[in-house]
Order: sequence, then structure tokens, then C-alpha cells
Amino acid sequence: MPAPGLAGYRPDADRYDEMVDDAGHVRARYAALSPAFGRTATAPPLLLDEREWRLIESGIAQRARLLETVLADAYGAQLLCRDGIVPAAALTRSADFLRPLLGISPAGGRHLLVYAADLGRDRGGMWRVLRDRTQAPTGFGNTVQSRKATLQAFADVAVHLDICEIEHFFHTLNGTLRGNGRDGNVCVWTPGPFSENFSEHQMLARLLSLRLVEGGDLLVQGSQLFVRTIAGLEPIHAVLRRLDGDFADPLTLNARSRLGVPGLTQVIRAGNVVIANSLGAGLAESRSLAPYLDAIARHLMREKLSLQLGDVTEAASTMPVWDGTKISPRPVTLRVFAVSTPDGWQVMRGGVAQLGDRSRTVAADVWVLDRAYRKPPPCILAAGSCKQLTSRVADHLFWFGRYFERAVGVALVLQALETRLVTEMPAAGWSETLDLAQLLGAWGAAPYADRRVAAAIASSAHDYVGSLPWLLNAARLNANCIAGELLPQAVADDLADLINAIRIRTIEQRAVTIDRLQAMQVALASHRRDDHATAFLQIGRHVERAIIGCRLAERYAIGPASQIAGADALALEIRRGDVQSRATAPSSLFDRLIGAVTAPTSIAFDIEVLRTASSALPAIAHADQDVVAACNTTAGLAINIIDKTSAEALLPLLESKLIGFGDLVSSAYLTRRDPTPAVLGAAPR
Amino acid sequence: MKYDVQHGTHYEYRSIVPLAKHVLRLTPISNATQTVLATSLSIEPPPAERHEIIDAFGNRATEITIDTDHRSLSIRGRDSIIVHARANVEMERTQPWETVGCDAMASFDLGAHSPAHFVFPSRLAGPLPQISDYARSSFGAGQPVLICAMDLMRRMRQDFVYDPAATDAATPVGDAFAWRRGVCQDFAHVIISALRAVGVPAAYVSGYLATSPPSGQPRLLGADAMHAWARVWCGREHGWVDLDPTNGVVVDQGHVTVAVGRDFADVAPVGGVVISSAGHSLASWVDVAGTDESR
Repeated sequence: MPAPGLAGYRPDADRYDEMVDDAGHVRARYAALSPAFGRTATAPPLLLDEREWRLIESGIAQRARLLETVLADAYGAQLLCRDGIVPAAALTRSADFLRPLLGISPAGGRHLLVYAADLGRDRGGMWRVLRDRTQAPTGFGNTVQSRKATLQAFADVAVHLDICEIEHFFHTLNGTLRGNGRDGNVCVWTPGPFSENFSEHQMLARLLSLRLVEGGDLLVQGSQLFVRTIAGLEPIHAVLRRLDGDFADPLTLNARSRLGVPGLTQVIRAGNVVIANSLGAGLAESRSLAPYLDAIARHLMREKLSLQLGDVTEAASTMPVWDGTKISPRPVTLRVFAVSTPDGWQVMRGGVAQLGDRSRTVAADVWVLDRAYRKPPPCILAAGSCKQLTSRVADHLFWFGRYFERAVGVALVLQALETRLVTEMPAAGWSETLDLAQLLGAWGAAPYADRRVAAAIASSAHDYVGSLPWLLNAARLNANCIAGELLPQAVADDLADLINAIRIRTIEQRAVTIDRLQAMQVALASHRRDDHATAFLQIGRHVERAIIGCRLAERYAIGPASQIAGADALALEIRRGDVQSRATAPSSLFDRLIGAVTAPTSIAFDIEVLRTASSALPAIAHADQDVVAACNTTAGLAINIIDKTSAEALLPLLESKLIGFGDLVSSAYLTRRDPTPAVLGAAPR
Repeated sequence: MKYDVQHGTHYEYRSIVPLAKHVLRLTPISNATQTVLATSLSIEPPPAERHEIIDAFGNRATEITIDTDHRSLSIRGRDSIIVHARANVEMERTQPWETVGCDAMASFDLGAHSPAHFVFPSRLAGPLPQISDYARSSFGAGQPVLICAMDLMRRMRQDFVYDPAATDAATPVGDAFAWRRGVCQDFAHVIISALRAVGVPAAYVSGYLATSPPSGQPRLLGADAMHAWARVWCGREHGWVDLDPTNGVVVDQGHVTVAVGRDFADVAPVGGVVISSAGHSLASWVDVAGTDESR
């Protein structure tokens, strides 16, 4: 049922309502928007007129300047305490007063490069600051997407309004981080995929064309910060930090942190890296300091703060929210963002509005309406100068490929087994089901056990290392870290779906699983973004496929099972090619499994893919030559497998060379094992 | 008293360690209670990088990086120190504990030894309701702070058992309190948490005890390894007074101070990060030979 505009909306009598005034009339700035209210699922934007915006803008810039001054003083001269303005306890109470940073002035001279504030209106309609955000302000990474969606939903209204754009903010931020023209190497530092804001971190990295890194990607050598890439170490000059300062260096700060970079403080002390915001900047948002900000502004800046502090519980205006059945007032807070520039603070002309209380909130876009606003010339964000993949990302691609293909292999064996278990009469001696169950055991997907037990474990024991759900989950964990740019998001989402659906053990469901896995193979083959990323994914997938191929060939083309009628059909049922490239299939099983390069089911086919991918890897101190040589060795072996005799001799060797090749790729390009923070030291007695 | 301190710490790793970064807080510095005559610290394998810094609490910290493959780490040190006799504090004349707490909160001092650093919970010595309850009965209204702190220490001596098998370096203070067992680190964390619970600033001290006590005095617990005790702030006039809750004594010339912080995390003798796929074993020893200078 569509919402009837604002008809029937009754705001709370004692609160300021954004859309409707005390007399019940729609406020002028919402005149064009109100008829469209409730028309789409997208929440309507919060509108601010130019007069109101200027007050917020100058108030935010002033506050940001003040907090910068506070931080410089707290970590520097500490005049605020010496002059008796702020008691020491107001600083020492904060867990974000990071003492190892005392006395260090940050590279570039600024503690704050980005600042955000949460605002709410008091009953009189005045905006007040509810909370300063200086630690690692979040929310601005999603503004561009939210603006796009909101403009789309209210396109007919938007054309009549003078809406200030927000993209320029990111252009400015990029300039600030890159050192305003010096084009430093900058990265966005995320705690990782388990962080609730991880998708925003990914979005932000994409918006700014910056590399997204985790602590394990970074390391300190000789007072310099580096990132580990597939082509070696690259120096880093600036970091947009998305984790709390206390976690940033287990050596000098929180020793239990596994997210940090040991020795980072030393790099900061040497002035060799800009951290935005500085470690320790969280102090400026602490509640213990907030009550003193007015006095500090008077003392240090001889200014009066234009935006006053408000009480979170009291200060909030309301916005109407249409929940599908009724229209009711919800409290709204506004988050605004600012970036430091050489010419002072620039405030994003927009922001994020949060509608609702703590339990249920909806985010809405914020439109600043300004007739005098002149759109700045369109800015093109400098595309990052050919950035190498980090070793960690390449590692995730490689291992995603391996787990994914192993899962496909196990799924095909399972399907063959489960189909036969329904119809087959129990028989002594060799049978297809016995063979398939043994295969599951040999691959580690299930223990060597009764056929039905093996099938049950391989198909649904989530915690059995090597089972289908375990493999899918291992693939998913790797996919989650790289989904988006380098791997289709749909693949990561589908994997999660499949893992949930897998406990339904019907023949039909298994067929669905296989279909979906094959659809993912197609999606993977067609998703090409970065040559190196593609290469690592291909190497992971086809090393695994080739190894599986060796094992199947040993079993069905030359082993005892090869003597039995029906083995051919069985082997081809569980060895399917990359769907995408079904070429003319050679007739003999031997060729189809081993030697025919044109058959996507063959080992030769996989090795050919490996050769192409290996030659695309970046050059690094001889290692690339070794990788190519190891790949050629496998190709040479494969060519020499021409009949059963040579197969018997060479297949086991080929399998071990393939495993060795995978290890070599891993040690040459991917080794990035995270340091384990070990709290050492004997307990004093 | 003059002391010749020798100490050693030895790690054996179960796998090769290609990279290690450590912060060592093993070197004492001179202050009002002691004069350091000489110190040395040798590290094997030799570090590729070594920086000496003074940390926020005035301790000397040695930051090292070892970037060659190693399977063991040895740290040996030798220090020559004179520990001065401390002025006797008249307990009855110390400020009421409530006043001491208020003074700490109102202090404008941010220096390394300001009570403001030590009045709030820290990582390892947080406020726990059960410890707070335990503390209360020692803090009668208007009582001098040191009388109260001494009473707290006396009760701990009665209620707690020194038991090196009960806890390790990572035992949370709440566990040690619940078990009423532990070593000096646990005793120190418990009394620090208790003092902070009533608003009295308290600090953690790591250091050494004389291996052989002065004649006529009993050998103290904790003399064969690094020791730890607490420091309580007794107001602007009397300042910091060191209490050793493990032995139930006020600290005097028998204790050599190495480092001071909010809790063990601030003063860990060997902290840091190693890249290692397996665990490690640890052995450490201390020898503190004292000679009475007055003789």
C-alpha cells in the first residue's frame, strides 16, 4: 500500500519535526519532496537549507580546528594542564590517551585529517553536537552510493532542487592523504573482513583508488613502513586508519592485538609515515574531555564554540518514517564529515542521517540545498599508479581457487555415490559405490567407512576437515576477503547459500549444488579485472584440478578399476571440464583424462592453463623463473605419458611435481605469515 | 645497601624464528630511592636494530629487532645499584583516603609520576565488584590512607596463599582474586585493583629482591626471580609509598626498582612479537648480591 504523502502525519508535540512545523504545515524546504514521501522503499533525504548549512559548516570546521589543537597540546606541550584549564584526569581517564605517542609530533604536523560529528537538534531547533568522532570516523564511505540511490528514487523531485554534490570531498581527501601533490603511496588499513564496517572499507578503498590492507600486509624495517606485495616490499607513506589506535602496534600499545603492525610507533617517531588520524587521536572524542572543550576554545583559540554540546537523550528532532502500514515520527541524528586541507577544513556538503532509535535505524541521505552553489568541475580521482596485489590478496585468490575446485571434485563424487546408493543392491566385491566411498576416503573428504556413513560425513559434517561443507566454507572464508573487485560478490554470496542448503541431502538438491558450482565456475572464468589476480586464481584452480586429474587417471585409466566395465563412464561422470570450454572430445578415456590438450577434462589442459598463468606473474629476483621452470617440468612429464606403462611410472611423479609447483608459487609470491604476538616474559614471582 | 644484580632470560623456540621484535624493560634507572652505578644488557643473537628510549612512565626500554633465523634468545644483564634508605612515613599523619582520591582527580600534573595516570582501571588491573567489596572494609570513613592500605595488605597476607603453580603471567586478576592464590604479580594486581576501586592511585613496580636477606631478617618470597610489588599514592605531601603485598612489608632497602607502570603490561621485562609456528620454553634466573655499605 502506498503512503499517502504526509497526510495523517502527526509529529510529537514537544519536538522539532524536520518536515512539518508546529502549525502542521510542510516546511518550505520539503515542499517539493513531501508529495513523494513513502513512494519508494528508499528513505527520503534529510534536507538542509543554505542558511542552516552555513552554521553547521563553520561550526564543524571550528570544532575540528579546536580538536586538532587539543591533540597537539595533549601529546605535546600539555599547556592545558599546566595552565590549569583541564585536570590531568580528563586525559588519563581515556583509554585512547596513548602514552607511547607522547612527545611525538605527527609527520605532516597534523593529528586529524578526517573528522566527523554527530549532530542533533534541541527542542528549539538548534543543531548541537552529540558526539565528536576523531578515532577513525566511519560512514562517509557509503555516502556516494547512498546519494546515487536516493537521487534515483527521487529523480523527479531532485531536478527541481539545487543539491550540493559530495564527490569533491573524496577528491580533497585523496589529495590530503597523498600529501597534496607528492603522490605518496597510500593505503586504507582495515581490521579485516570480520569488522562490521568491512564493506565500507572496501567501498572507500575503491572510491579513493587506494589499496586496502590488513595489519598482516604491513611490516616495519629500519623505521620505514612497507606493504608486502607479490612483487616484493613497497614503501608506504600514508595510511587511512580504520582500526582503533590502541590496536595498531602490539609492540608498544596493546600487546594482545593481532591486527597491528609491530614497530609502527617507531616509524611514526621517525616521522616516516602519515597516519590518518594519528594513533592517539581517539582521545579527542572521549567523553571525559568533552565538558572542557568550551573552556579550551576560550583559552587556546580565544574563540567561543558556535556549536554547543547537546545531550544525546534529549536532543533529537524527528522525521516521518513510513513502515508500510503507518507513518510515524522517528528521532533523527545527522553525521557530518570534514577533511583537513592546506587551506583549512573542508566539510562534505551532505552526510548521513540516522532515523530511529538504537534498536531499529534507517540511514538516509542528506541534501544540502543552496541556490548559490556552483558545482565544482568534475573531478577524476587519480587512478592508483599500477598497484601490485598484496601477497595476502593473492594468497586468498590462490587458496580460494584450490578449495573451490576440491569442493567441486568432492561434490561430483558424492553425487555419483548418492545416486547409486538409492538404486544399487548391496553386493560383495567391487562395486561402484564401494569404489566411490573409497575415493572419498582417499581424498580426505570422509573416513574410510561404510558407504552410507562416508556419504553422510562427506556431504554434511561441517567440522570434518575435507568434507564438502568444510571445503565450501574454506573457499568462502577466502572469498569473503576479496569479494567485490577481484572476485564476483555473487560467488561469495552463493557459497554462503550453498553451505546453508547443504544439509538437505536429496538427489535433487545435490544436482542443484553441482549446477550452482558449475555456474560459479562460469562466473569465475568471465570475471577478469587484474591480470595478476586472474593468474593466481587460475593457478589455484588448475593446480587442484590437475592433482585431482592425476588421482582419477591413476584409478580409472591404469589402476585395477580400469579393467571393469563402466569405469569409463564413471570416471567421466566425476571428471567434468570447465563448462565454458567444451571442445571436441577425444574418444579414449586415456586421452580425455590425461593427454588431450583440447579436452577440458584432461591434465594436459590444466597444465596448459598453468603455463599461461605462470608466464603472467610479475618478475621477482629469480623466483618467477623458478616458477615457470617448475611449470614446464610438469608439462614435460605430462607429454611423456603416452601409454599405460609410462602412466604408471610418471603419474605419481607428476602429482608430486604439481604439489611442488603449488608450494613454489606460494613461497615465492604469497608468503606473508602474520607475526604472532607472543606475550613473553616470565611471570615475576 | 649496594647490590650487584645479575640476571638471565633464555627462550628456546620449537621452530625457527625468522623475525622477532622485542621491548625489554630490564635496565633500572636512578631515582630518589636508588642510584644506578653501572648497567649492561647483552643479547644473543645480536639484534639488527637496537633503540634505547625512556617511556611515558620514566622507565628505560630497549627496543630490539632480530631479523636472522634463530631458535633461541638469550638476554643477560648486570647492574650495580645503591639503594638508599627511605624516609619513614608516619602512617597516622597521611591524608584521609577520600581526600587523596579527590586530590588525584583534581591534579593538573601530567608528568610520569602523576597520580592521575594510576587512578583509573588499566588493562590488567581493572575494577571488579568483588575486589571492590573486599577493599571497602579496610577503608573506614576519614581514615589515613596509609593506615587503610596497610590494613588491606595485612588482610591479603591472611587470606591469600603464595602459590607459583596456581597462576601464570597471563592470569586475569579476577581469577587470582577468586582463587586467593598466586605469585607477586597477582598479589600486586589485586592490591592495585583494590586501591583503585576506592579511588586511591596505585602503581605496579617490577624489580628485584636481595637473594640473601640482611642478617637477622627472613628470606623474602620471590627472591629467585624478578619480583613485583605495588606503589600507593598517599597525597601531595607524602607522595608514593611502596608496599610489597606478597611479603606484607613496606618496601625499603631490600628492593631494587627496575620499572614502574599501571600494571604488568606496562613493565613486562620481555615483551614483543615473534614470527613462529610453534611454542617456546623459557628459563630465567636472578642473583642479587647485597653488601651493606655502612659496614
